[in-house]
Amino acid sequence: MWTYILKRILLFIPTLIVITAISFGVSRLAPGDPAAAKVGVGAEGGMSGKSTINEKTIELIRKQWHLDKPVWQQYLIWTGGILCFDVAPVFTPEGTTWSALTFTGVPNFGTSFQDNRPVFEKMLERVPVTLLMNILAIIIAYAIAVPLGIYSSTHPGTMLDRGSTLFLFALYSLPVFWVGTLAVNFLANPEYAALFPSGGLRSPAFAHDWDLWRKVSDYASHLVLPMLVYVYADFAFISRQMRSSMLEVIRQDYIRTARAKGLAERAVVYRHALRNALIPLITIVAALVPNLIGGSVIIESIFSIPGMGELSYKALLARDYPMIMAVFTISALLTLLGMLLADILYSVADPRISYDKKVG
Amino acid sequence: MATEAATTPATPATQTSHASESYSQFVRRQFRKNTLGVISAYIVAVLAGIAIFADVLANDKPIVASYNGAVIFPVFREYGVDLGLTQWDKEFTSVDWKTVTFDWAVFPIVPYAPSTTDKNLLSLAQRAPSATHWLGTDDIGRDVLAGIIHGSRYALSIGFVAMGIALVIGIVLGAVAGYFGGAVDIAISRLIEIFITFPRFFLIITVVAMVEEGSLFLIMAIIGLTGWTNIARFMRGEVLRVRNLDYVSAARAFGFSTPRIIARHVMPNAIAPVLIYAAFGIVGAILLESALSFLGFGVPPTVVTWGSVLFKARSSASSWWLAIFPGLMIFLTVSAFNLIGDALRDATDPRLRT
Repeated sequence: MWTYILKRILLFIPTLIVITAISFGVSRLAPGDPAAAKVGVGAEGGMSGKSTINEKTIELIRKQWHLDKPVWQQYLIWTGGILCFDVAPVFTPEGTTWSALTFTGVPNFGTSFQDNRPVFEKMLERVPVTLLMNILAIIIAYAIAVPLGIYSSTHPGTMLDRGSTLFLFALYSLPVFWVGTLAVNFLANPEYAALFPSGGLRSPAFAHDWDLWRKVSDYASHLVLPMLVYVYADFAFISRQMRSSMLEVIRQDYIRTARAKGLAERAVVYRHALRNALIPLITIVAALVPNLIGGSVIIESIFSIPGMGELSYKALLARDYPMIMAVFTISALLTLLGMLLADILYSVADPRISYDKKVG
Repeated sequence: MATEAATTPATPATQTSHASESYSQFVRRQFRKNTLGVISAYIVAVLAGIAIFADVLANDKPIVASYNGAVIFPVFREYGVDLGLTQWDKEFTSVDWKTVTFDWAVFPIVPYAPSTTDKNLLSLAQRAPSATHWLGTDDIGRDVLAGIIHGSRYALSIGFVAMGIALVIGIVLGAVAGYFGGAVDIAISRLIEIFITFPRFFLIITVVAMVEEGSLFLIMAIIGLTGWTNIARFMRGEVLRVRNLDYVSAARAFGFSTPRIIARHVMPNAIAPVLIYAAFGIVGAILLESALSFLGFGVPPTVVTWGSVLFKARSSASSWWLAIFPGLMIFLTVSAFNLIGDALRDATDPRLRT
């Protein structure tokens, strides 16, 4: 097992090299000089054209962001930074030297174009919100979807089965951005019903000397709508898989055998069917892992939740390339880890799957 | 594909005479048993009709009119102008068609083009659905119904074109990887892995946001270019499965060329499941485009799509009609394609054969 995991992780390396190269390439192909855009002498002409001060500043920023070096060096500096190595160029009259390579222990994705703060630091601030909301949403979604799937497949044709099937189908086809818009426009709008605040995590008047109850209820009222949308999105996805997987298993011969030998229905469903039906749901974990930290650009931007999704959205609007590159790299890494996790969980859940014999 | 399956006349419904039917006949017969799937196929057909005839259904120009004694067809004349074949007469070059006095004129049911701005609507109440604007207008007075009618054209064309691109890439790469194996297979499989690993939605927004002038073709291309991985994986598996079967060996023994073997002997057995992916892929493409427009990226501001009307709803929260109607259209279209996909899947599932 461990050799398998190690091999898989080693196989990440070529994939990650290509992915970092593509994200790096995409940001370099983008039009415009980021340093000039920073100073404000972009195509839009923020400041009054070219002046010597502007030229000097641009030159300085280009140095600071290593934009004055050949592209392959820029790429190496960037990937080196991700791997926690810091290349501090030493300026000498003859040019720069690359002697000072130090291990910092903190991944360095560069500094954000928006406020010059380290990208990684900005991301760390945003992760808890997204992580917490997503984990909560997934737990709630599974807690409803699994029992519903069991009931639906063991009571085919009943009103609840038919109703829930139709309802699930409708949920599955509802676009997340529409549900979110409807929630904000109708449930958080004084014109119709201002039941909930329209966005953010807490009210602007939030003060730290509020008592605990007031703080909690303030957060809670802000979280209701975005959590509803998150849960619905995960639920629609999970329950559809659960239903088809359960229906698939319940038709199998060994279930008929179990019934034929006179097992109680409970034993058939929970000991024989459910275990096998849950295996495909493991793949879903892999699909959901990148979202745990990456968040949803759509949901977070609708509800102005200060999480990773909103950070990525803002980075796109501001053309903050270091941030965009970091988002790409981290999501790709998380996707790879999610796929590995799914494969490991597969073999744990299903003893028939073994990676030790046929490693390849 | 699916529409055709639903509209071809039914084969004689004798349960015993199916022995000689071809696989596609079999799939069609199974598909027709699925009521929801058939209804969805009709819905898609109606949507396609709306998309094709959008210019006649919603337009600020009359379809046919008599002007100074001559009968003119302004809607159709516009096609010629757009193609560069002809030009407007001088008096029509930049005219508000509503102000022209015709002897008689037949206007479309919705007498507004999606970009026509009605400047008389000042208050929110005037922009709400009314006898003149059935589904209301947006903040700058563009008719929502006209936008939705023309939006179906964008949605369907993005769905089909993006899916077409993905299908071609996926089928070719998957078939090549499966048939040749070895280094080719490894290279293509790595490529697939890289594409799966990339955050697709974020990649699409990034590319669209970076290109200064967003266009429909760019969106179609980028959705198609990133959406082929599932089809390729499936085709690869399918080709791997059949390439050593006797009938393929027989074809090889006959001296048929590799492309011919893949196209004529291997593909037909894999094509029905690929169509399932296509149905769900169309859903994905339509949703991606709407989500892009909804976030304010994507199509240029002058183009009205379902997603861009929803985008307007975000800034004018009190205009309920902007949030409801385009969303309903997306929901309807997505449901129809999803149901067609489900019906096709059930129709091709051998375990459900009757």
